[in-house]
Amino acid sequence: MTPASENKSKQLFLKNLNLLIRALALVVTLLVVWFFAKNTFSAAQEIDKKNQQLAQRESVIAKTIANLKAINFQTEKDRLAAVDQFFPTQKDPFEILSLVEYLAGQSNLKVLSLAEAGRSEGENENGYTIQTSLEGSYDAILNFFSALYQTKRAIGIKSASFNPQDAGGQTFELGLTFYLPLVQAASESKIDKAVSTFTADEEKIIKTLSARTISQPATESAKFGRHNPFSEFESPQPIPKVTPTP
Amino acid sequence: MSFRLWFDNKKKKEINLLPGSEAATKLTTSTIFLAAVLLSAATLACAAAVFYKDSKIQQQKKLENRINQLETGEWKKVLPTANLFSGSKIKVSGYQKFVDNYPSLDQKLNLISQFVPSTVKFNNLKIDNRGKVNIAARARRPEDINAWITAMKEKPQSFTDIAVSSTTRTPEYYTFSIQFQVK
Repeated sequence: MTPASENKSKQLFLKNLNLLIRALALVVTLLVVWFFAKNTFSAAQEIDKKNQQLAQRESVIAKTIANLKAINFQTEKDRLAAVDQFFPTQKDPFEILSLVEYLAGQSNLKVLSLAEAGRSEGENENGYTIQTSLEGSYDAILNFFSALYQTKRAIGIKSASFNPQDAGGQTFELGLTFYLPLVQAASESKIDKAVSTFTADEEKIIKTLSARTISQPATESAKFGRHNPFSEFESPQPIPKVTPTP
Repeated sequence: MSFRLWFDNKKKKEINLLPGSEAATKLTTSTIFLAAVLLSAATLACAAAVFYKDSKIQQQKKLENRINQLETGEWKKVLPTANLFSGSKIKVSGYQKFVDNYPSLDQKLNLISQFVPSTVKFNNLKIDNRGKVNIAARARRPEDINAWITAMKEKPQSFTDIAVSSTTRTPEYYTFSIQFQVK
């Protein structure tokens, strides 16, 4: 090979190398740009998915709020008062004692003893118990039981024990343990779980509870203020007996 | 076509009549043009992707703001109503459970009475909310006790787990205890 042709060949090699480097640089640049664009587009798609979920949530929340806004709070509260009364959140022993005394009186039963027995908690229980001992006829006891299932306050009978007081089985001493359920105050509603309607079955229960009629009688409130609180107390006026209509 | 002729043609095609510098200039120009087109397209694609992502981020911010507005502003206004509903739902759902666990005892007592023979007399009776009944009773003849048990056994939908214990014969009558479950 002559030096001239050798020089020419060297120049050609350098030119080709130059071209190759440029091509490589272009390819690398295109690849970098491609990856950047692809990643950016993928990230945008992810955001879009989240946006669709957010839009759905926004729509649900807006609808829930609109539904709740359409409800008159006071009217609904009045309508659901029976539900609240049936399952109170706080212990109400004096209301129960008063109610049991009243129902016993209405059923011709004599109250021998009545005492709060303590808390009652278990798998299906959250409340407290009251023990009572009543005296009366078998029919009076059945009437009393029947009336208990018409009270505006939930009263369950945990156990009943009949002990005849005479040989003819006309008078009984009835030992009863009442279960008074309490429902924990509901925690603040969560917007995602908020509801604004009741199912048909729930409406039926609300209606059933609203139809219950028996509650403790309204009594004349005591006069306040005593000079000597240790002196003998006044006897309250007896509650008039209501004759049931046939 | 003979090999010779093919070789000559091939050779002819490879002859470049342009001077070396001119050929190089043409190659460089076309390469630059191609590179420019490719880079422009890539830049456009990048810009489009960035613009698309940015528009989605803006949309997300708007949605989050709207949800935040609803949760903090509008929601507070209707919270008492929502609490009323959720509280009442809990209570209403507890009603059926309560009624099932604490049924009316007068109905159960009436059911028991219907199956008691006229020759059997109760001494005492205990019943609980689950329908578990424990009766101490007496009868003049064992057949009467047996008749009662048979009558209850024929109604398994109402009476189950019937068991008699501590039967004693006194000069006048039989005393016994009976346990069963009334539904």
